[in-house]
Amino acid sequence: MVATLDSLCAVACQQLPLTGAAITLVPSVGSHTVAAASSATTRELEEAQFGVGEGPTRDAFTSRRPVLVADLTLAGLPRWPGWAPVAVRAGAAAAYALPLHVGASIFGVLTLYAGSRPLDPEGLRTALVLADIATDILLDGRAADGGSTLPPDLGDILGGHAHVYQAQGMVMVALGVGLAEALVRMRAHAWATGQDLGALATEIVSGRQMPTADPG
Amino acid sequence: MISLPDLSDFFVDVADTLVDDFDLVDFLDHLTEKAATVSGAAAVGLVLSDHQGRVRFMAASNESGKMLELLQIQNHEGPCLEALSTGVPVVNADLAHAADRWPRFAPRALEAGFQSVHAFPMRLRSQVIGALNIFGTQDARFEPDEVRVVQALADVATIAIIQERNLVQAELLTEQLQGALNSRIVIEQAKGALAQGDGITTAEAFDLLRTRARQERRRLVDVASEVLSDLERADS
Repeated sequence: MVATLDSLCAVACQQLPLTGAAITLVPSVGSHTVAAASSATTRELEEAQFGVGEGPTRDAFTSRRPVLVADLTLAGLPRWPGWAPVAVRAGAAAAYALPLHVGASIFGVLTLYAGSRPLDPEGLRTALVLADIATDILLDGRAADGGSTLPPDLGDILGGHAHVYQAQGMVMVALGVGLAEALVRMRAHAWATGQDLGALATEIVSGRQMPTADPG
Repeated sequence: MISLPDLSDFFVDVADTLVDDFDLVDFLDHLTEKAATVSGAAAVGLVLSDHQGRVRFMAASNESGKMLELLQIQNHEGPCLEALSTGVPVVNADLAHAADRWPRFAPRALEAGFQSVHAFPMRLRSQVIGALNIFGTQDARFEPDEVRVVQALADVATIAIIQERNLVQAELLTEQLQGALNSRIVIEQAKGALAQGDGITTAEAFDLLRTRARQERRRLVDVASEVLSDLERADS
């Protein structure tokens, strides 16, 4: 999975005018791991946030929304007085931290750094799509533990079908598992029984079906 | 028919909400409820467009409003989607005569007891960021003056989205919209968990969350997150 995340960071740097990209994972315990980075400098920049206790990645994780700062010297300095100078010295002029999450389950943060040329609105959209892909990779990683992968259908999940999320909450309580695990079980069950996830969610919400306690 | 006393209440209420401790999800939830009162509608729903141009459900005055929005999203057609893609309001559409326009959506909305529908775009300069839908159980028609009033309600929703920190920049608008869309997902997850845990419907679960948020003067998403982490901890 780490290799996949590394290539995602590389793709981000090819597709967008960036100086670096990194993915920091947030395990449930609260310690942070920089899982992938496009360069050693970017990795250090990312780790520095946890050293000084501030920065866009941290803020994206706590606020559960993107933290997009196109000018680190102007907007970044007052916000992160300890970290921003380090970033500027390392050649970063803009930082875009995107939470990798589905509702209340957060897996990590994708942080992109740019030089003197900040991302335009089209670039921002591309960055958000990359975050969707990273979220999908992390969810698959949980399901497969590095082995086989489930069909990628996060696009569907995120497409606005409220009942999928309701079903996720129900499965969490019914099976006594974590919220992220509940979505993994739903995907496994849908795949094993040949249903699409939306159809399975409808069945769950109406009380007609529930994935079994053992992962499929 | 627009009620004038309700309309002035609406604006006083909105002005109050916009000053301190503002949360977009709570605000839009509240706005759909108020818009239903002002316009005498049976249901009001609001959708936003995300970074991939996908339409996402955001708020509704009641479960019917939500169902009608999801019906449009799932069928890729309907007044809300039309207002979103054209930027032009859909006014006084009679569902009984809309089978050609929306072959999948119109019959189902009629079946659910609705007769009339209006949809107003939420415009931000050249961008359309969402749409507000008004559904009636009778063939309620808006006069031109009333159309302007309801469009103003949709514009208030747009202003609320951009007002938080004077969102002149694409970065801030993106932060705000993405944050709100994810908060909505948290609320749906909590509704499901609460429904399963207490043996109630998801609509009842939402009423519980909303009542608790208002009584304790907290954000809906905070109450929803707390419910989820309590239930997650209790079970695992």
